[in-house]
Amino acid sequence: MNSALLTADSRVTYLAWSANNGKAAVVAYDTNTGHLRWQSYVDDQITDLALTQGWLYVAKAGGESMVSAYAASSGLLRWQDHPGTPAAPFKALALAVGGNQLFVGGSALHPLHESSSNFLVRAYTLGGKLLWADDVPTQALYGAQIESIGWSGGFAVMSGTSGRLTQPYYSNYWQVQADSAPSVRASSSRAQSELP
Amino acid sequence: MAVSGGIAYSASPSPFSGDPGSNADIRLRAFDIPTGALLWEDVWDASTRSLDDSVSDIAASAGRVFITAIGGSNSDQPPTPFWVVRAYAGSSGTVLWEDRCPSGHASRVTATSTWVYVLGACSDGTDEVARVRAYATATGKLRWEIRIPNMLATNAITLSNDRLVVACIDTSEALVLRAYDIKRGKFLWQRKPQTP
Repeated sequence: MNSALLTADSRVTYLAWSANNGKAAVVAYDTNTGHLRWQSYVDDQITDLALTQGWLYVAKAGGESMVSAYAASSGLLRWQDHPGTPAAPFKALALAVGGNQLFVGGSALHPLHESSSNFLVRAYTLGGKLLWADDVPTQALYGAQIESIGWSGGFAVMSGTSGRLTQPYYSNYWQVQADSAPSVRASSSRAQSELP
Repeated sequence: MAVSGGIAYSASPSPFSGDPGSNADIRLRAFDIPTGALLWEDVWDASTRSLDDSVSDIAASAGRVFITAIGGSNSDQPPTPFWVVRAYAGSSGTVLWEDRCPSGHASRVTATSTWVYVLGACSDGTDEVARVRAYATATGKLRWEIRIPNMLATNAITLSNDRLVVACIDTSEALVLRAYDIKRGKFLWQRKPQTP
């Protein structure tokens, strides 16, 4: 057993977990009775869950797809996105929903432009249309990635490692960043803070 | 990171950890989301010793922020982790209350406006036992405690209406889901999901 994640609405509890055999599952239980409602098996490592308006979103790392969207009531796969390639991997580590958008945070590596991964945010409509992405190659050497993401009042807020090392400790800087999150297709604006 | 009321709360170990000479403390920072301005910062030496402390989870609700920490490990000394949870006033960073249990860990926290629920394990003189504690958010007064025997690890917690659901690993290394009544902590059901 590698990991387990839970989220719930008022009637159903959703579990995502990865087994030692490398397989993972998303399972829905009736919270009152414990009865199984549906389950779906996936091959990728699951890193986060988010639930809103009848959608269950699953963030994934290490495989071909980065985010999958299920109908929360039935478990039917409605859409998924896989922007990366084996040579340019994308990894999702955190999800947030707000303002009728889904925000996916993680990392991306563009080997023609950088030697280690950069902060990655992608914003979608709940139905899976990409609205905007913040995916700027980094000059940092040690790999940047978003580890947590949230939403508040029109901003997507994320934190994670910046990929630069502090001196004299050689510890990865911690970066907190807010992107304005327009609900129509547009480029976002950004404010960030990098701290030891 | 947790987001509530236009403030992002970010917690990370600092200045570095995982080294024989390290003594990481927990640095909790509150940022105004629209501007990125640092509102307040607290450096918390959770172990009160020259050992690494790290954050296991963070939650925010109704103007308060809650942190669970793993205090007391280092690469050249035997780990002596313990359960610790701390509550802050979200607007000022004032410490509101703290609860500790020797030997163990507090791994997950979730909160409503009136109650905060912490999943972890601690010892009360004999073996470490997994448990959930429910505290009043304002005062830290213990409402109830659930003991969950025969568990190796505590992984996830969520709230669903008037139910609390936790995911743990039992002594056969199987994932176990357990549901409780949120008001009294009464056990309701248990499920072991099928291995994918």
